[in-house]
Amino acid sequence: MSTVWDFRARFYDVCEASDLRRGSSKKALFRDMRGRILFVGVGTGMDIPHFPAGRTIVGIDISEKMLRKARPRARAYSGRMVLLRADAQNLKFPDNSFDTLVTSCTMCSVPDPVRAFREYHRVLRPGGRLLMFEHVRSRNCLLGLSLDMMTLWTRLSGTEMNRDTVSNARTAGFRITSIASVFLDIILSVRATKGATTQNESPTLPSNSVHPSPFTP
Amino acid sequence: MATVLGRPGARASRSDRQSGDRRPQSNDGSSSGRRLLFKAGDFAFLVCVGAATTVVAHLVHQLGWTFVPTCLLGMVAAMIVQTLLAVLASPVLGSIECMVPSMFVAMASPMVVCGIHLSGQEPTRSMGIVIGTVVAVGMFVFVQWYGRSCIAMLRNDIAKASN
Repeated sequence: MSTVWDFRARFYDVCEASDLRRGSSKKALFRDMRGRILFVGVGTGMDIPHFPAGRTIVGIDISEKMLRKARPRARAYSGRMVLLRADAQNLKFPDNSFDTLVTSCTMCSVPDPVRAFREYHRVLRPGGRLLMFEHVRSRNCLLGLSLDMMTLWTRLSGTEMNRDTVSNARTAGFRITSIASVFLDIILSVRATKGATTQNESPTLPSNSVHPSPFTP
Repeated sequence: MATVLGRPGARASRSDRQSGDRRPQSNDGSSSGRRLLFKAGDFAFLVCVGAATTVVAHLVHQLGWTFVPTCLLGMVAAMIVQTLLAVLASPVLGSIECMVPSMFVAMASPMVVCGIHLSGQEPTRSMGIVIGTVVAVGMFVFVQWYGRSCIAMLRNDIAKASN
């Protein structure tokens, strides 16, 4: 998986140059980033200019080449930003480590999205927020068919255009609090929360942990 | 309180106002002039795709092959042209915003050309451009209508999930 994204890192910025249209929607969503923030799938850091100033953010990506391109953008960010190589499906952070978790066009590319959402649920504190800027399959049959057809070739480069990301988040235990249409019902700006849980959540690090919480002194 | 934010300028629902949710109803910070420019861009792009793909299908029919291979080649050529145009337009209009509606246009307009050939008539190139334009305008109108209905649809989803 990381090999595909290492390859795509070369021309990712050209292919994903949709900022002119989507930038303002992203900025509006990212304004809700609060507290300890995890950004999953930071890519080449194209979203970093839209982050609100002065935040402390941990950005992760599976591709080292993507992160290499993101580093200059992270350095230019007016807050504190740490970039780490990590798999969204197997986050090496302790439970309840973050107040906000953000994804931007990430969930189309994670091999097992529900597993990834369960990881997000684990690392978010109870009441923590999930902010997603994601594209999903349209419920309209014509547009849905177009997305299904596109998936036939985008799948080769690790991207599924026809996922039901909102349902996947619900399956993992998130409560959706708002959905904004950015483009039809295909590109959505979604806010969700992790409900307070009654289960005893262990604050200890998993045994395979390699990333201690970046927020602990 | 769950909220659905939608089309820029959409009014707050009664329940949102009652709950005191002061969040702006647009998630898009862009101005109305900017939105209008994007709509004009979408329209021009769809018309280009409709006209170009129909002309490509028409040119393939000029090869004089039998019907089925001609239609298949015409469709493939039209999809290639549509993909190239979408890649070119995506930095300005957005990749998904270009690709998804234009893909339908690139499928439907060559099919109309093939249908005309099947009926035994020979459409001219200008007729092909008109057909492509009509399909593109139809798709543009559909996208505008569907964009509005999406807001209500998403609002219902949230309401159902809250209950």
